[in-house]
Amino acid sequence: MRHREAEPLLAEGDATAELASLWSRTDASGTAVFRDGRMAGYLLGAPREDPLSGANVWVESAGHAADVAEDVRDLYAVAAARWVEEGRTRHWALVPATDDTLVDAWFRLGFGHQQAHAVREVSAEVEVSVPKGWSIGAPSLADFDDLFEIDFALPAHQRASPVFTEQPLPSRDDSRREWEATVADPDEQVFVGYRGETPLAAFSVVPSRLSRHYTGLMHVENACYLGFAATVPAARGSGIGVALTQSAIQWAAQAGYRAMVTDWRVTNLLSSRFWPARGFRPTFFRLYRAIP
Amino acid sequence: MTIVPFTDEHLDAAGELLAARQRRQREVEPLLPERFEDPAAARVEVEAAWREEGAAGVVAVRDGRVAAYLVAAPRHESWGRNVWVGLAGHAAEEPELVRDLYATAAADWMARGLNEHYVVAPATDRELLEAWYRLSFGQQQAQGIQAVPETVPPPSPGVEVREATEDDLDDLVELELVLPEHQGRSPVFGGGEIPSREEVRADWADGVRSPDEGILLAFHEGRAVGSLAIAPVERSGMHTSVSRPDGACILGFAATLPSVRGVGAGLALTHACFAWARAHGYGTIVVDYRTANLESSRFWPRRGFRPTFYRLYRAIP
Repeated sequence: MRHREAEPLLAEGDATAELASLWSRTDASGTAVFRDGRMAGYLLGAPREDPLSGANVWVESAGHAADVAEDVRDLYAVAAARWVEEGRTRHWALVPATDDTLVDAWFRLGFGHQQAHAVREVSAEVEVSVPKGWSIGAPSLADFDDLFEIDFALPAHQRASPVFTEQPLPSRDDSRREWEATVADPDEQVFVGYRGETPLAAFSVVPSRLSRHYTGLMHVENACYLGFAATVPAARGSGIGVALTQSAIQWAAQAGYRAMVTDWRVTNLLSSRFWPARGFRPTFFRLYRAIP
Repeated sequence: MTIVPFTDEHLDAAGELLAARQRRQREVEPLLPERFEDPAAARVEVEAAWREEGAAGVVAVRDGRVAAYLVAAPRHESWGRNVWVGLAGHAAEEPELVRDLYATAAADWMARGLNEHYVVAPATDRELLEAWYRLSFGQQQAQGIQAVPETVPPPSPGVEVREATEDDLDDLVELELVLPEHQGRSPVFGGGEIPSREEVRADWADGVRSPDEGILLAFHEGRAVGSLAIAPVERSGMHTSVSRPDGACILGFAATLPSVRGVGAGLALTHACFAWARAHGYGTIVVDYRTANLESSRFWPRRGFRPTFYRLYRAIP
């Protein structure tokens, strides 16, 4: 409720169902704090099956809440003792971005920012300012070599400093299969930025229900998900990213969506500056702590 | 804006930036040393960081002048494959610039296999801290400061505090081991070797004999249940440079047995420490603690200590 007061675009959600789902996950564990005979806070964590995440525990979006933010530190202290005892030393927590006190409590447990999830309204009235010499169109598999460069640009950027993601680089075969599926997918709307005849940037929008992120408490009613956005390094700063964002927002409104969600690595200097400047408001932060 | 490697020719500009940072910080925390508001004095601190073995740095140049700098060096291997941005290791006209500086510097650190990154940043600059949090750093340690209180209340009934003697070394050794054991557990998960009892005993014996150290013991029901050490701040390896106030002492160690927490032994020791500091002519006292240590991170601020610097930490992956 507090979170929706700050960000009304978030769906009301069914907190009890979310908690039941979390609690039923394999190896879920958790803690609760009681004050004056009533539960004043809880924290639930469970590992995700993800080869890139190592021995991990995730506190999902419904995984914690407390009357007093400081109590989260006590809840984590007890929960993390078990996690580390089990060998799970990489900890993630999805925390409401609008609650500074709660986020600060996690920082004081050694967590830092990793990812931001965000939302904004869409509007058909937005003006699309395409830079001179550029056009926006649909992708063509005839341009696969250039599309592969776009596909490659984001993970290559994020594997470098200061993100240091472990996300693997795509192979040409994987990328081709992905682009073939994308072009054939009626649910996916792709906006490609062409300088002259050459595609150098691409943004992709899908219904948010297709994303694993925007469910439960992170769900936004009638929203689309801007799930991919990349510009090859040589074209960054050209203004095509702004134009593609405007196109996507305009299209989303015309297609009947009310809002658009997206996410970015907070340590990605380019995207962490670009998306807030485009009007996206953080809803959840994914925080991370690795215990050596 | 361009990022270029730090060289000797940037020392003057970096001194100016650090002096400006110190001025801003002292507006919030005037107990910090004033002399580093002088760019010449600040330059000395930057140069000391720059001359450390293995040091490297970067500067942000905007409109032909230095707008931010960052200098770092590895420390002892007990900190892991590490690199440190120390107390005088960074300053910026705009906090966001440190993210660009770190991006360039960290690429070099990682290429050298240094994947554990430490940054000491002013606790009073929320925007600067935010910039580091948005580089995935979390808090690890806090340095705190306050003026030594003029008066202190008497200990709680049932708690007695006195200065330790060499006859108390066994108790001091037992109490010393309480802290690393506590901090090795959740949620601190502090690493590091626990010193041998012989080493610990020798250290406490030195402290008890030292005329300028105060070693205090708290007793409850006839048993030593807590200890505290206080010394001139010059003994500290952490409260140095721009964080070292003049005429200050450091509350360098404090522990109470877990079984008696809540009886007032920690409070009585702290008050006795303040009285000792006042009696020995100190006007300022500093302390430091792990921020993930729930007990100490709550106890010291409630005793009046205000954070001055946070040590931030990021381990990759």
